[in-house]
Amino acid sequence: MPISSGDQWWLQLMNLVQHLEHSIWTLELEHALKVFSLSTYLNWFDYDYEFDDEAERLFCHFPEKFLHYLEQKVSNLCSQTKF
Amino acid sequence: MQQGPPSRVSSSVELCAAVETHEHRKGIELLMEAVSPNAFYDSDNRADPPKCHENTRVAVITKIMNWVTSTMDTDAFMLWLCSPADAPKTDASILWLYGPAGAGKTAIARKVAELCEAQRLLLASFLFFRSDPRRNTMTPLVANIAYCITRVIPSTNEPIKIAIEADPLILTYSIEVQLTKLVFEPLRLLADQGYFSSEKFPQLIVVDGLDECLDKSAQTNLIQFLASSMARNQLPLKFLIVSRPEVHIKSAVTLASEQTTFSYLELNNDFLPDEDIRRFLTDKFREIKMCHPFCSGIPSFWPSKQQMDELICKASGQFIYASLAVRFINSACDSPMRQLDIILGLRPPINHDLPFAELDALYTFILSGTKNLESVLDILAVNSVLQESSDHLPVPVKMIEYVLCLEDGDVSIYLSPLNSLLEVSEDDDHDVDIIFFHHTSFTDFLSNPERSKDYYIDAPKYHSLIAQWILKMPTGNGMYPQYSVNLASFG
Repeated sequence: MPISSGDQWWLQLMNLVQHLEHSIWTLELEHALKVFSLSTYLNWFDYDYEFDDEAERLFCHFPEKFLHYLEQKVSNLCSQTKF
Repeated sequence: MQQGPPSRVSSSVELCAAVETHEHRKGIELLMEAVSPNAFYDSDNRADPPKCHENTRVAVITKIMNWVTSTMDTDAFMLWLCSPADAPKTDASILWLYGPAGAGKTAIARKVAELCEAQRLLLASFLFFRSDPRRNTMTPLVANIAYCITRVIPSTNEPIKIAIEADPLILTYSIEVQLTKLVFEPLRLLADQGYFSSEKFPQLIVVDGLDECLDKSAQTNLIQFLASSMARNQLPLKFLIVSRPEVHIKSAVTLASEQTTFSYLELNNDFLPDEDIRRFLTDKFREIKMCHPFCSGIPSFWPSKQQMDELICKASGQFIYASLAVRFINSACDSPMRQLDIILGLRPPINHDLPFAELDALYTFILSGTKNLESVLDILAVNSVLQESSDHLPVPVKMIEYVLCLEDGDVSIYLSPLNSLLEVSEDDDHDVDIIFFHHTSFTDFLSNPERSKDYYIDAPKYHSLIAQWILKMPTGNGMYPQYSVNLASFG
């Protein structure tokens, strides 16, 4: 069954952690992470996309994977007040 | 002592001296000096110039030969019956054969020239080549054509000689003037004397690799001038122009076809290149198994069907890939089996011996000629990284435009100089515009720093860029589409 263009968009957005893991660390990236709000991101996703069961499962695991990445990367998580 | 610019008096004195020197020499001598000897179809100075393997490219060569001999083939006849306006014009005075880089256009042009020469239909040939300073410029083109004409039709010898002796600097003038004085006028003279009224006469002029001339405006000027001259002079000549489908050449051809009858032939998958490549590889592997210095260790079942299929898939219709692969596998310094594994990526190359150096030079040449190179590389890199991270799903060009903050349609515009390697068009399965690569080896090239050097895609930099784009998205200005997600479709 062909994959819709919408799926490709969604998949790329959900691939954030994968992109972060392969990124070089730059000031711009650090700044983007500082101003990023996980809850806004999740709400936006929840609001804009209708998930099937499998997508829902991936979506539910996203915060866990993202925070795990941050724990490893960002030394002082407490300073990231928005998280 | 530093010298200032020459005064007008001294430069005119120098010019007179130059003219006097030229006047004392014979016209044909001057013509021969201006000729690029490696540009004739049968004088290519490369170690292994492109040539068609036996029993390959038959359909396309037949089509071209039918055009040369003004024969309507069965396909054309059927098309003519159904839709006369769309049928190929066998009486067209210019045929433009175009196709992706490395598709084997030069081999076809050389084969056609060879066949036409055997049938006394070839008048002249000129093969441009980017790495040869005497073949990557328009300067020797007319001299070569005029020289061929004097050889093929000896009665043109005198008018061409007279034209050069009357104006010894003529070979330094514009291509238009040279073509008029040294090609069209002498042939017109002959036509008026009834030379072309005989049934069969040499009429084909092959100009191959027009895009490999470094001056792009000279390429378009030549097309324009040939079209207008052919319409004006009404000579029974035929020009076979062969090139990659570069945008400026396409535009020039479209414009020129309003002046004279143009015919087009695209070297595409309709000609089933995979079948020809399989035939070529099968024959070459048979030769390797019989003649290679280390052939005794090669089992009869080598290469396996899977290896063969993979090699054909990697070639993606590119004869240049297949021919370079065979050359590498056949090299006498190692076992062909090990060399094939290197080609298929199963082993690293030994001693940095890169199998596709010639192909890489071609890719480098095409990339070096693009405007906005930085943006082009950004686009290719973002496409590659996004595709990699989604199990090679096609990436909508709109997504690339969002990531790179480009305007709608910019991807198509920036990538247009690369249309011999890729194209932006709608993907039927997904209903979005995506980038189609004509050659899978081009993406291999970009992701290998040893091969692509300055053009290498540094993936971590682009992962970082994409991550920033995603991180900023919920607070951005709504530059993302809304879709429902059905992951079942990923299976």
